[in-house]
Amino acid sequence: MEGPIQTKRSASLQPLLSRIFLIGMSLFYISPMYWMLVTALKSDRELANFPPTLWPHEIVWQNFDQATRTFPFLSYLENTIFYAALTVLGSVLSNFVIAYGFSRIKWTGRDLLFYPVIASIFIFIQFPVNPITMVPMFSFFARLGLVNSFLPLILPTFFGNPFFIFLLRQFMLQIPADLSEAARIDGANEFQIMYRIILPLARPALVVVGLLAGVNAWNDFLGPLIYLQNDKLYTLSLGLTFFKTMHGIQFNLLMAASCLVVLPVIVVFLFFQRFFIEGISLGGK
Amino acid sequence: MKMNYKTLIAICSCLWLSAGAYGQTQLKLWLPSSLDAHEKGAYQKAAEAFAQKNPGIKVNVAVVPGSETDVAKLMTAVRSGAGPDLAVIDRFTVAQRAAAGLLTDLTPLIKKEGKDLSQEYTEGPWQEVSYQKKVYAVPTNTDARVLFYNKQILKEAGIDLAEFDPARGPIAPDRFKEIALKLNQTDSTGAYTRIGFVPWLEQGWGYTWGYAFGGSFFDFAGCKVTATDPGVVKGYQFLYDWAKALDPQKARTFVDTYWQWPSTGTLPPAQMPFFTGKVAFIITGNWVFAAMKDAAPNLEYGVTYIPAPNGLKTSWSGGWSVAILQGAKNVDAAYQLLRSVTGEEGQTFLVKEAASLPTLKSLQQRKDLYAPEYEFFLSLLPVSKSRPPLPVGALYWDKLKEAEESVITNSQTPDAALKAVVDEVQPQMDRFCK
Amino acid sequence: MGLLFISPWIIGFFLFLLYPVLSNFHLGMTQYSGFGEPEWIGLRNYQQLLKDPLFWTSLSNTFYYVLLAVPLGVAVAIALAMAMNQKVREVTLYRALLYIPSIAPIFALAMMLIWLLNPRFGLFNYLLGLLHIPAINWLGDTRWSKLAIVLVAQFGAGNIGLIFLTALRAIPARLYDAASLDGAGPWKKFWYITLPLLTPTILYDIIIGIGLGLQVFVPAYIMTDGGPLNSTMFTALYIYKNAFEYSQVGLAAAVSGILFIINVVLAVTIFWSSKYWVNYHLE
Repeated sequence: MEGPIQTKRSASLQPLLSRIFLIGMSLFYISPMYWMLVTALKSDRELANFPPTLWPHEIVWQNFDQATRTFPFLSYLENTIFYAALTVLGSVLSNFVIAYGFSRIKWTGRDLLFYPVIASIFIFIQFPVNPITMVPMFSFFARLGLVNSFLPLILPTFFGNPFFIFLLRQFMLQIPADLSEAARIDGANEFQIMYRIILPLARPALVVVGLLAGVNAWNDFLGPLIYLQNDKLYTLSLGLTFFKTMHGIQFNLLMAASCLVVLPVIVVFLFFQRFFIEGISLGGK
Repeated sequence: MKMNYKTLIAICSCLWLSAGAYGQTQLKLWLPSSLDAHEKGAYQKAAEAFAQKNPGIKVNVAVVPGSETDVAKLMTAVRSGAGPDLAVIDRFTVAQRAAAGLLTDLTPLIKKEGKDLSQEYTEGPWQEVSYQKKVYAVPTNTDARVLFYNKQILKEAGIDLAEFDPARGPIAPDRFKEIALKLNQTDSTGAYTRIGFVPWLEQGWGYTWGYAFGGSFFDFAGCKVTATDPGVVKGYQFLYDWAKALDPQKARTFVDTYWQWPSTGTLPPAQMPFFTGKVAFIITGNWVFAAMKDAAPNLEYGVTYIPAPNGLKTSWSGGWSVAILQGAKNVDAAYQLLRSVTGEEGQTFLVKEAASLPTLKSLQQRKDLYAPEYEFFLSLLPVSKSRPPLPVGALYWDKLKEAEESVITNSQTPDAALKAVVDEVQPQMDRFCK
Repeated sequence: MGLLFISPWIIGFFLFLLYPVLSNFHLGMTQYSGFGEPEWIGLRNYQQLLKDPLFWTSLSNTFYYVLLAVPLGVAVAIALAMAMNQKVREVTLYRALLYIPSIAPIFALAMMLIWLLNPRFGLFNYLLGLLHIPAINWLGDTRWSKLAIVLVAQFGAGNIGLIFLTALRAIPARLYDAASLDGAGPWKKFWYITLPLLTPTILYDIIIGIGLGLQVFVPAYIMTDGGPLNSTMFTALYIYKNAFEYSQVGLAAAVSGILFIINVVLAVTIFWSSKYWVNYHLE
């Protein structure tokens, strides 16, 4: 592994300094989530203590139960899973095909047309709904009567996301061109090449795209905020925020609800850690 | 993909299910989340009572994020064709929502019913729900604002409770300030643990003090926004000076620590400012009785007029109404539900469950409905003002709130802040002035 | 044939980019409440915006935020990358801890921070108190509110931190070896080797950061609703309020169009300036 080289300090001091640095940063980064858990377990009385207690004196597990009873957690969970799943499907499918077109086939104007893709990344920084295009897009969908549904949220994912196109194109450019060439000589058409040869090779990158798109949908707030009207359609993001307005600032219940919303993401991360961490680097080149 | 058997069953079951739904009319009623919890319960009960009496109609009551002036969710829903049939709308915003095209004109429906509703409801509320000579909503409840005081805290501080006897009329603002400031308490770091009175908490809006100091907020004859009326300015000056006396930043920290201005309305009842003894006085309204019953049944309190100069007895009333939204599918059934909820039956629920005051003249006269503590509030109704019903009503309220915020943080003088309000709201109003 | 493959993107480009961008300028010249039909009023919306103090406040708040969040974001991301690159055995544990907040929903983080920043009961003020610094009313004080929002965003630095990590690892060790032989200390190595070679990634982060910063919405909506005193009224929030709360869709579209232009100008400027300070492919 390359990187900043070790200086000529004693071999035992360096790891110690590293650990101090790491622990410090980790404590800072994990503090909100730690605090969220701790607050979620506190009783109302203990909540009002000052200075705040670092670990609850009495652990109130009922807060979790009560939190789910004050808003329809299961329904919101189903909706969020539905939204995330379809987003993953659309993202993986569309971005793969599009990136294939930009990387594995040589045609005139290919690289020229790629400039607008890169240029449009900054607009779609928030996906699928961003503040710049949300007003006309909402009017557009409202006129078609499609607003109170997931369609306006999922449709864009089937038409490509410039960031993912960029990421996948980088990855696929690295696959040796000879593989495609050889297949072409053997008489295969592009679709067959894409499906039989490139797809298996691109799998790690596709997993990354799927994960990033899925997590993005899971955490999406602005999209559901303006497009989901029926509380039967609400996702967890709306449910949690709605919880806050319903119950003012009952922080222990609110934090319990937040834990429940964040937990699935953490579980997914722990399972797919390798992909998140190793695969993200694809976007860096 | 098997196209045959499974899809056939799916199609059949879909048809069957939807056929089952045809036997019933479905009505959706939306309540904004900022509505007091007891009021929400009252509306729910009123809807249930209606559904019981009308077996062919099913009523679905939903609470939706929103407030008096934030109806974003409602608007986007109606725009998308997925809106509810009815919604509870704050009365003073009816004109603005009607002007935007959100509400259905009820005048033809009322005519069909054949009653002259304008005679059944008290005048102020009825005027609020009309816009350009058409009726867009029907009033439900009303209220009045007064000064509540905590007898125990005052007694401990040796203050003569007789000064707050309503028979003496409203206490003068200067004398009131003297007393209230004496009740402040701080801890070792200098942060407030109790403040005698925070004029802008709960119902201490700019409207309250503007009216108390004799101001007027809109000139209907000249179609002018009069936020810079001398009385209004004096009211805001009152807030400005009081904030200064408390130190604006410390006061703000006090409020933010225990509640969150101005959303105290969404607090769990046990945490409400007046109940916890963190303030000795507060301006609030009759609806608080419902919460008080649950959260502070043993609180020793008294009520009197809002402090005002020259013995001016003032208050203002707000209240809600029910409207039918644009694009509602079952307008006739919706109207029936509306009349039930806004009629004697619905309003009685609001009085009993939510300690509201009714807008129906017939109910106001029925003394048997009210506990003795309501007497004072009912007596205020004849002199109580209301917020001017304007097609820019919600905007005006938001801008006045902004001015209030800058005044209580002492970052702007009342003159400057209120002038800014006029500058921003008048152009919007001009569009509607004939 | 290639065109066939990229056709979904072409359709998407027209539908989700070109159409809304042009529509912003078209709708921007109408009076539209969202109900009924838009009414043509020419440039009146833009004239109104010129006079609206809240519009200018929103722009200045947004720029302030960008100027604060972008450099801080780069610094934090580099710090994260260096942390994740440390040679200790359990580094994967630390990497996980540092990365997880970035995939947590930002609305959940915002809620947590409301509590953490409570003037009296919040952890942050308690820690400040230990250092004998007076408590700060983060979300209630106009001087600190924007910083609170910037703070929320920093927890999402995990993603970009990983990208920096890759770039960090791509720096050949022999460069550092050579520097050591010349007697360079860690600071000199960082300043003259690491940083210059990270400039392409820094450029990438700046562009992404500007995009995110100009469009900041969720934390402001959840934590402060634009307050106190409109100190956190960002342009995206201003657009949202006008379109969905005040029924001023035409006005909101006009502002969206302006935001778009600002975005383009800034991105182009940074990109053009990059040739002066970004080093590519130094092998």
